[in-house]
Amino acid sequence: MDPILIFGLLMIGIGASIIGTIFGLGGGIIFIPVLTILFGLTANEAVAVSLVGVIATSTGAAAVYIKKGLSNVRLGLMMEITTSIGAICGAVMATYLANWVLLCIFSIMLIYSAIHMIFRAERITEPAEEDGEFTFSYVDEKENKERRYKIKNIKSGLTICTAAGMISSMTGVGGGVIKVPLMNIHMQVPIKIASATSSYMIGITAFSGAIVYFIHGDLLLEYAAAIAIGAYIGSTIGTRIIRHLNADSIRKYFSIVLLIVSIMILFKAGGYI
Amino acid sequence: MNITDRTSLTLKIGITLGIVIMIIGLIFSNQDTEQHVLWLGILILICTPLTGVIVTYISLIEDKDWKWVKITTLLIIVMIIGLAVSFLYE
Repeated sequence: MDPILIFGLLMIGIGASIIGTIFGLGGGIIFIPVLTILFGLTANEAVAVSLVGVIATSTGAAAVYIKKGLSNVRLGLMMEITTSIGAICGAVMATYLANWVLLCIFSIMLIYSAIHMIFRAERITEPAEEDGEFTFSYVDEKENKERRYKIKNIKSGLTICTAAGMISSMTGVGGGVIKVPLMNIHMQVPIKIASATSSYMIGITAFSGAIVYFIHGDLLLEYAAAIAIGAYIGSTIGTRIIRHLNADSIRKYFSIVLLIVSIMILFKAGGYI
Repeated sequence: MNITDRTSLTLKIGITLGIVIMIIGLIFSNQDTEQHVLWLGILILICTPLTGVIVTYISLIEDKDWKWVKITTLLIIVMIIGLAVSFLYE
């Protein structure tokens, strides 16, 4: 394989993974258009390679985040159930709505989340002294103090997750962009925990997709390996950057990312990507 | 070692192993072995998140944390159904 091509793929992997690791996204929204437009891969090839990149981003990030108590494994496992059920329903159901309608709904949800995150401060419920079942704590490295939080609205949060999983599998747009605001705004999970937990979940979701492509032999191995190595390097950088960011700035930057992603989804709805 | 440490360590071992094998594969470019080496590295990487879930599951059983054992069992069942559906619809 051409070294310049490998270098290009590594760079794309690093860049997408830094953003993905900080904000709890897989990076597919960056990988897929870049691989199809710049590297000339077919949509199917790009999705397969992207899934491997997403797994490398997620696993690299989660290995660090879980150790630090930022990825909430229990919350992740629970939300992963309803997301997967939604994704399966989405895959099985014939698409009764046109894809562009779904993409527009997706985009509107993201714009709403972004505006909410820009204009409203983070709402976290400080738990009472006695430990409830959904009470957790983590150390905020930026502020250097322990913060405790109680997860709220679990049932409705899990229901929304099913819908998110369904729309996600019907449109092919990853779930991170919707799960992070859902956890942060609706379930009152601190933004750092929400993005780190999303990072952890994304790898589990991507596994099911990636293994199918892999077994069918539809994966371009060199492309996937170069992207994965880049994504691993990027995740190492991303987990270091997040230490120096406070919750407010992550929320602010995240809302900007959401607005950019929603515009990209509108382009996709219009058939331009 | 507690659940988080074990899960984190599993993910770290899986991804490091996968990435090292992939680097070796790319260095041996244009040789017959390249494809096999890359294939192995990518397989290890892809299976790492699942291995993480299994390690968490075993740790929960050891801790006799039955409520979360049930939740994780449900997740594993859903994942198996998901995989079956994916293969059927491919």
